[in-house]
Amino acid sequence: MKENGKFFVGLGGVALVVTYLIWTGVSESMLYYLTPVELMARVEQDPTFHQVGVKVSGRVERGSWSRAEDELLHHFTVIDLLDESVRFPVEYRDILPDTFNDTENVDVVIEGRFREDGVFEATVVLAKCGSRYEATAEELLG
Amino acid sequence: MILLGELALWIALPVGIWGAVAGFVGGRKERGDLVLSGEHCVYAVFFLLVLTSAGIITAFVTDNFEYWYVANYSNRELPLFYKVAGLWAGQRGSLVFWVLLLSFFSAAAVFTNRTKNREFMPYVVGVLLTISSFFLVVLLFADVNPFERLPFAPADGRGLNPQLQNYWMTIHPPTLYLGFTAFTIPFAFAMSALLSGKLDTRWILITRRWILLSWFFLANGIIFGMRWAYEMLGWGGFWFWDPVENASLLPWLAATAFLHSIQIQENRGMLKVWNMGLVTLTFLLTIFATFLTRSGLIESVHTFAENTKIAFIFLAFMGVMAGCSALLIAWRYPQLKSENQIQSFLSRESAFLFNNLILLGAAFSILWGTLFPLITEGLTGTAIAVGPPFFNRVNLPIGLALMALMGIGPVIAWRRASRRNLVKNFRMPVIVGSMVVAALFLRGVHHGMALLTFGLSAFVMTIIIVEFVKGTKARARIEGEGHLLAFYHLVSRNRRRWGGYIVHVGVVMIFTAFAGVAFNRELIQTVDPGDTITIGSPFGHEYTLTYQGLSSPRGKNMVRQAVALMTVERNGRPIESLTAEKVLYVKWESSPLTIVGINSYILEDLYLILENVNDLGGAFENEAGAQRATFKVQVNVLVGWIWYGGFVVTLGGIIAMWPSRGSTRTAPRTKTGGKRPALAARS
Amino acid sequence: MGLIVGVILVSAGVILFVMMPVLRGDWAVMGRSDDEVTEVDARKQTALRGLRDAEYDFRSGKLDQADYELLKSDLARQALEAMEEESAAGHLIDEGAPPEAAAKPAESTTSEAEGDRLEAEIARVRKGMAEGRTCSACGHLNVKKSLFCTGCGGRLGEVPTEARDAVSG
Repeated sequence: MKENGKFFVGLGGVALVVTYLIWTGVSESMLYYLTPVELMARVEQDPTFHQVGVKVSGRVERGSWSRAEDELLHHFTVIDLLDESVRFPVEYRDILPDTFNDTENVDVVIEGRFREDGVFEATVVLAKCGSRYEATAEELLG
Repeated sequence: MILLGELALWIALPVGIWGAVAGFVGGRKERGDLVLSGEHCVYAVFFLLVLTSAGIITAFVTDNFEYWYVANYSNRELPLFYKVAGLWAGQRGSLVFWVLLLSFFSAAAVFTNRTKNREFMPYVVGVLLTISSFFLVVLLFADVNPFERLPFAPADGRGLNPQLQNYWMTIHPPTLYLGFTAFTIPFAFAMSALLSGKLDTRWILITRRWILLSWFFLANGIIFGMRWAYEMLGWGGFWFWDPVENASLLPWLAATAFLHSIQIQENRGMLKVWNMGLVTLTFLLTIFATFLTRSGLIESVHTFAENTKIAFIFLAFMGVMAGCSALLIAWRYPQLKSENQIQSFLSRESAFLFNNLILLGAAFSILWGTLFPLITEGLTGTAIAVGPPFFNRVNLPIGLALMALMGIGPVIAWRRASRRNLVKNFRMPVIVGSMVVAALFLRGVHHGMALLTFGLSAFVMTIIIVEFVKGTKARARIEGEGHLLAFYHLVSRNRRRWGGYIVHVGVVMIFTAFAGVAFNRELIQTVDPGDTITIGSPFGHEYTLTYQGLSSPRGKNMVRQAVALMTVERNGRPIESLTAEKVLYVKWESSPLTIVGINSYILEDLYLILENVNDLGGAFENEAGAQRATFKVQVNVLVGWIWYGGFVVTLGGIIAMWPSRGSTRTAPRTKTGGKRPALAARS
Repeated sequence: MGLIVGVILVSAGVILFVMMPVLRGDWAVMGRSDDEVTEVDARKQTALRGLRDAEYDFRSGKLDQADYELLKSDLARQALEAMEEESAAGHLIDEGAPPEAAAKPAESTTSEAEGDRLEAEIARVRKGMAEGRTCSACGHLNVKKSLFCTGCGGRLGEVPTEARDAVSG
């Protein structure tokens, strides 16, 4: 049928456009989602990885946060959740979320670029004090 | 009371299972007594869950920290308001709350259908109680029992996360949950139609209002969530494409598609299989959203071990539900044939189909983006995430296409529309849209996508207004009524259509507001008392904020508060002043909460964040030297139109749902079918 | 003690409430009652609603005259078919239904009230066409015995032959 034919062409067109949008969207905005350990391994293997945007989930090292006077520039250190010896400094220039602090074990997800000088330049910082949300019996005692 | 609540949860499970079995068997074997027993189970489960919820709330209100759940989400000083809301503050309570709402809606559905649509009810009862029973099993056996006790009773609880200590906490989650659970009713009727073979349009006619109700709550829940984010978490943003937000958007998109496609089935007898699939999909997405919002499956890809058990239980349940529904559809496929075919490419049904495809495309892209880290990690071992740019890039064109369809839909007639009429009907709206674009361009707006959005919204608005005017005129002419009366009758006689158009107006307002983000301005500055911050608005005027200093009052459940006061001038004339705060909550002394100050105007918001106080400790003690602070000031353009649009959506939704006159039944009814009929009559 | 009593009361009450229909042999109604939407009814309503929409679409300039006439005759036929089927089926149900269901007075519900109103509306339009009051050019329904249409000024009573065929066919 002529009308049905037209119709399926239209629907197919829409489906193609959506697929195209998803495809190009993924290839343009994808970020490797790594742990600090994985990030270090990657960078060692392939130095061009310094240019690539990555997303890293780790933990804020206690007592590592400092803020430049009168400037919105935050410094802190991120450690791996499992291997605490793997760490790197982070620089971030915007408002930190309220849940961020360096006195408890705060889990963070940071997005940005791991520069050649070994400093992670973050553009996004998400914080979740994972341990605070639901405590174990021992923690409640303390 | 608490123990009674706990035991009620245990009693509810066998009752639910018995009721589900009784419903299915009663339907199959036509045993009316079993069916009635099943219906009684629906009421009983609701009653028992009220007891359970009352038990949890009692535990919260009486500070019973022996319970793990209470100890984790409350403390002695927490205001009563939030103690009651503790029922849905965490995963465990949320699950109870979910079943409570589901059992409430189930009871309402059974009650309203106690004398009609009886052919459907046995299986409806079966499906609803199966779903309730599943949640009860999860609650009792998947390590999420809200009544789990600690080996000791702590002196105080750990307190509610300060970010949840906001009045939206008591509004936003319940609204979303109402939307999620209400959609189970249409799903149950659809499954019942498949099981009983009553495959005509009746299940849609019966559940039409339920679908609207669910859609209405979902839409409001999402808008409330945006408002909450805007006030609390967002630093002036309202949507972050965060997995939890995405999860709440998915069922709304699917429900919107469903709301349109059922109209094709009602009017044209087409798309029966599609609608069955869509109702299942929407239902599954509500379940998906329920467990995603509380399980943390996505955010912490590398640390999700803690909650895998419940995630897999839920995934298995969704799989079983999808499988059952697919099998039933396959079984009934021959009876689900279309009665008609698309007559013309230019017809409203065709526009609705495009709308369906586009909405589902959006839903798919959002689901894909949300699950992308999981998918890539599963396939390659390395997780790859996509951020907001992905979602914006995909959904911006989709949003524009939807806007265009909102304009085209009303003008195209069902079945067939002639090209000549289309051209005639589009002429004026296109001219208005282009004029808006030209005027804005000349006034200095050069952002392409924003211009396109504003142009399209003017186009759609014109079409809808013209529709109302034409409709009123046509009615006034046909019925010989005055224009005001004709307008009233026009809307009240076909509430769904005209209420729907009003909803479209609201949605277009919200989309327009999104485009305003392109013009936002912001500024960060560190100031001492007496210093000023000046920020320009894209509309040409200028705000001057003068920092007056910090004060330190103390509120309930708060350790300390530091409140910064800013007096504001607009082009030199004083206007309402702004405050922004840092608050230390009891039990959360290490993370001060930031509370923003907002001055809302029709076209923009002035938004103040107290980013940092140089010496917060000193400021809390009201020390004179500790007043230096850093502020972020934003001018957020058109953001208020999201909330205005939300009101319009609500209004349109209420009009569409409003019961029509004469729908209340007046005749006396027999309560049950009476006694078991004689054997001879049954054979 | 109070707890034990409470639990026993609640569980006994629930069990009694749930099992009573089975024990006492109370039956829920399983079939449809005669005043609710049937499949035929739904079809009739759809057709009538379609007619109303078509008229509205035509009057607000979304449908061509020819398309409108075609749609209208098509929909009117569907509606009539459904109505006939309905009255035939109504007979059968009346005979087969249990006495108490049949004894219920016929009552007006939403669907029927709406249906009646629609039917009346359709009847009026059809009557208007038959009397030549509905203008064939613009669809305006004129006052009785008008010679010219107040909607477009055209002469009344000149129904195009193909449209007349479509309506009567």
